[in-house]
Amino acid sequence: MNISSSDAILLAHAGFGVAGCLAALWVFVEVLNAQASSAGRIQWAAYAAPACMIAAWICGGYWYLHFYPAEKALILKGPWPFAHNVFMETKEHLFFATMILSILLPIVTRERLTANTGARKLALSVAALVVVTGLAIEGAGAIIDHGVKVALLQSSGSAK
Amino acid sequence: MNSQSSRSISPAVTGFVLAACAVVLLNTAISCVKDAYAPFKDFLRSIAGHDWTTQGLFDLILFIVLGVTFGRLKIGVGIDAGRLSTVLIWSVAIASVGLALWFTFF
Repeated sequence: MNISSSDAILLAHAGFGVAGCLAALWVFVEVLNAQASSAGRIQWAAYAAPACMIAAWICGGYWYLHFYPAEKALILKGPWPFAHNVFMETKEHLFFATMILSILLPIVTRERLTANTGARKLALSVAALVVVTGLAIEGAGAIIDHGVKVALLQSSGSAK
Repeated sequence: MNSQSSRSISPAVTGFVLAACAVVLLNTAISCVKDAYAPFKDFLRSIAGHDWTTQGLFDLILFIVLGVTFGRLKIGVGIDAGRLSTVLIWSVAIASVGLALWFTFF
């Protein structure tokens, strides 16, 4: 098995992103039925979400700056240039919105969720937005990955 | 507890929600402007070595500064939590769709 540092960083980036989405989903489910006994779990998950998203930002940012330019060149020469032009461009900028929303999550959940229906609605909205935008970003990552794959398949096919 | 107090949001939280709305919309605007105007992209690159890095740090710092400022000035206090949620959802929707449309058609 040969896993390069590039592969490890990229997988860590995607893994932290998924973990951040799952933490936000956990907050959403707990807040749906917020009770005094669930307050601790809500806070823990609400802090886990931004921690994972910031880790995804650091790993993804390092990979994007150091390893992506070679893959970008491949994608643009391949049959799926939109994988970079549309999906990567949207993903890399939408990520900042998801990160800001994830940082907002522990701030919103500091309100008394058991007694405050308004705060509960707000926390549900923020958690849902983190999950939806996070999953959209994960999907865009898969399309970018496939853009590299079809470019490599095309270049190996033309080499034969 | 009356219905007013059971739905009210503290000034600090309201401030950070409004800051998030402003930052996600501004983030989309910055993304479009730097894509259309190369000197602006070069300017961002000159600050932190890469335009994307500068933009991310700017968003993060602006969110914290605006959140604290809005909270201390009690901006938005009294806005119903439901309306605050609606404003946030629409801000994120406009910012997300705006990014996708920009990079699809321009």
